[in-house]
Amino acid sequence: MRILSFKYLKVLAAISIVLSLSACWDYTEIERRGYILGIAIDKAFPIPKGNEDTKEYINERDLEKIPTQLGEKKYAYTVQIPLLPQAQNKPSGQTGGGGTKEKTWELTILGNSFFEANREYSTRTSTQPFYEHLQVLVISEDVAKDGLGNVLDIMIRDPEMRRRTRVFITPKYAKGILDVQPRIEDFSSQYLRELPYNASKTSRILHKTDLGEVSESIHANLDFVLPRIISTEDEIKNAGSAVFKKDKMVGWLGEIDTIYLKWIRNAVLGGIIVVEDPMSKNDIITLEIKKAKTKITPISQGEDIVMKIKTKAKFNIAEESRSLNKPEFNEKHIKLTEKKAQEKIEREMDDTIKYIQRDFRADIFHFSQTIQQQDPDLWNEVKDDWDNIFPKIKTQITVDVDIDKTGLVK
Amino acid sequence: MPYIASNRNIKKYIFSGIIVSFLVYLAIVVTCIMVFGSIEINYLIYPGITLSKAIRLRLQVFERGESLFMASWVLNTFTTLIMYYFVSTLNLKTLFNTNKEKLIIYIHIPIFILISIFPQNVIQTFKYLHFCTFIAQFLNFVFIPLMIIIFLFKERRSNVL
Repeated sequence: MRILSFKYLKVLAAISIVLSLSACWDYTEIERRGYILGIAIDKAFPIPKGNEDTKEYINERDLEKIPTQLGEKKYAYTVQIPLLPQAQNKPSGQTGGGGTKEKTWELTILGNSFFEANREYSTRTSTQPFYEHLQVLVISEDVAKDGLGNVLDIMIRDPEMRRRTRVFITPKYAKGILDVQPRIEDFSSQYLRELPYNASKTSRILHKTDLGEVSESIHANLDFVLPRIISTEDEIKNAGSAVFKKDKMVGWLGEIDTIYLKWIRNAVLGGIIVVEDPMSKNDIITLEIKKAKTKITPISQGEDIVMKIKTKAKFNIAEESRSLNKPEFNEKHIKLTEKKAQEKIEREMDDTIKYIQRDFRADIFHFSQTIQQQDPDLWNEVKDDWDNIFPKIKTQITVDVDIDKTGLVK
Repeated sequence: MPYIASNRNIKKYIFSGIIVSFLVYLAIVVTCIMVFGSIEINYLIYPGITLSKAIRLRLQVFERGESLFMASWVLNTFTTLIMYYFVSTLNLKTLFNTNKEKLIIYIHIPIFILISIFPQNVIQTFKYLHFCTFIAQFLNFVFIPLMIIIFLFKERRSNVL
C-alpha cells in the first residue's frame, strides 16, 4: 500500500514538473512577428522616396518624430518589414503578387538610441519587431563620419542580433537603399545580402565585412574598410570601399584600389587583371585569377620598417583581343605575359599603398597586426607612435605570376 | 571501484571519456579564438554562444544555426553539472565519513539554490566565477601535486621501515 502511494506521488510530481517547466515561453505566432530584414541609419530627417513635399507624407513625417527620453534626435533609424502577401517568390511556387504594389514597409523613427526607436516601432505596427533574421545594415556617409561606435553598440550587444549581419556604407541616404525595389529578389535587403557572395567573380567587392569584423577592428584598434553601395530605383551596386580610421570614416577608395587592397590583405577570391599584350602594342590580354596568396613579413632596416610583400598568383588567360587575327601559342608569349602581369600588379599595389599612406594615413592593410604577430619586439617600439610611423613605412613587393591555361583555342 | 558494475576495460573507458570531452572543449576554445581573435574575445561575456550565433552558411538551410547548436549544448551543460553533483556528493560522503547518500544529495539542493540566487547581477556572477576558478587552480596546481609528493614520501618511508 505504501509503495503504491509512493508511485502515485511520483506520477504527480512528474506531471507537475511537466506543467511548470513549459517550453516555448516566448513563443509568438509566425504571422504576428514583424521580421526586420534591414536597418538603415541616417542623420536625422531622411526624405521619403521622391515625395519630399507631398501632403500625404506630412502625416508620416509627424509620426517619425518622437519625444525622446533624453537628448536630441541625432539619427533617423529606418527598418524594413516585408509584406509577405505581396512577395513574388511564394514558397509553394504559385505565381502572383501584385506587380506594382510595394513589397516592403519602411518605418522611420528619429531618435538618438536605436533601442528606444525600436520600441517606438511597436506603436506603429501591429506586429512585434523581430531581429533574428536581420540581413543587412546600411549606414550613410554622414553617420559614418561621426563614428560607428555610437550606433553599432546595440547591434553587438542585443541577443537578437547576430554578428554576421553585413554592414554597408552609402554616400547618399541609407533609407534610399532599402527603398529599392529589386527586379530579381523580393526585398532589397535580401538582394543586397547576396551581392558580396559575388566576390569570387570580381575583387571590386569586399566580402568579409560584417558586424563581427567591425567590432573586432574597433576593439583591436585597427583601421578597416567597409563596402560602398550606391543605388538607383531598382538596382544596387556594390563596389569600392569606405576607409575607416579608428571608428570614423575618412574617405572613399575607388574600385581599382579596392582590388589591390584585397591583394595586399590576402583576401582575393577571384577576379581579373587586364594587362598590355606583349606582342602587339594596342591590344590587351585579360587574365582570370585562379589563386592568389600574399604573405607579409616585416623587416626593420635601421630606422625604417620595410614590409616585404610576397604574392603568388595563378592565372588563366580569359581573353586576348588580338588572338583571332594572329594566334600566339608558345612559351615565350606566356613568359612575356607573366612578366607584364607581374609588373602591373607590383606597380598597382605600390600605388595603392602610397595613396593610402598619403591621403588617409589609415592602416587598412593591417600592417600593425602583422608586425605584432611576427615581430613583437619591434611592435613594442613603434606602437605608441604608430599613427606617425605608418605613413613612412616602406614596402618591397615581389609578385610571382604563373599562367596556367589558355582556354579552348590556341 | 564503487558505482561500477564490471571492472573489465575500465581504464579504457575512463581514458576515452576524458579524451573525448577534452577534444570537444579544446575544439570550441580554439574555434572561438580563431573566429574572434585574442582581443575581441575579452569583450565577450559568452564566447561559446556568440560563436554559435556567428555560424553562417552560404546555403540558406539554417538561417539560425544557433538553434541546432543549443539543442546539443543544453545536453552538454546538464551532463557536466550532473558530474559535478556526483563528485561533490562523493566528496562530502568521505568528508563526513557517512554512508547516507540520499541525505547528502537532498541537502545539496537548497545550497545550490542559495548559491545561484546569491549574486545580484552578471558582474557579480563573474566575480564569483573568477574566485571559484582561482580556488580550482589552487587545488589543481598546488594542492594535488603537494598531496602526491607527500604520498610518495610516505610510501618511501614505509618501504624503509
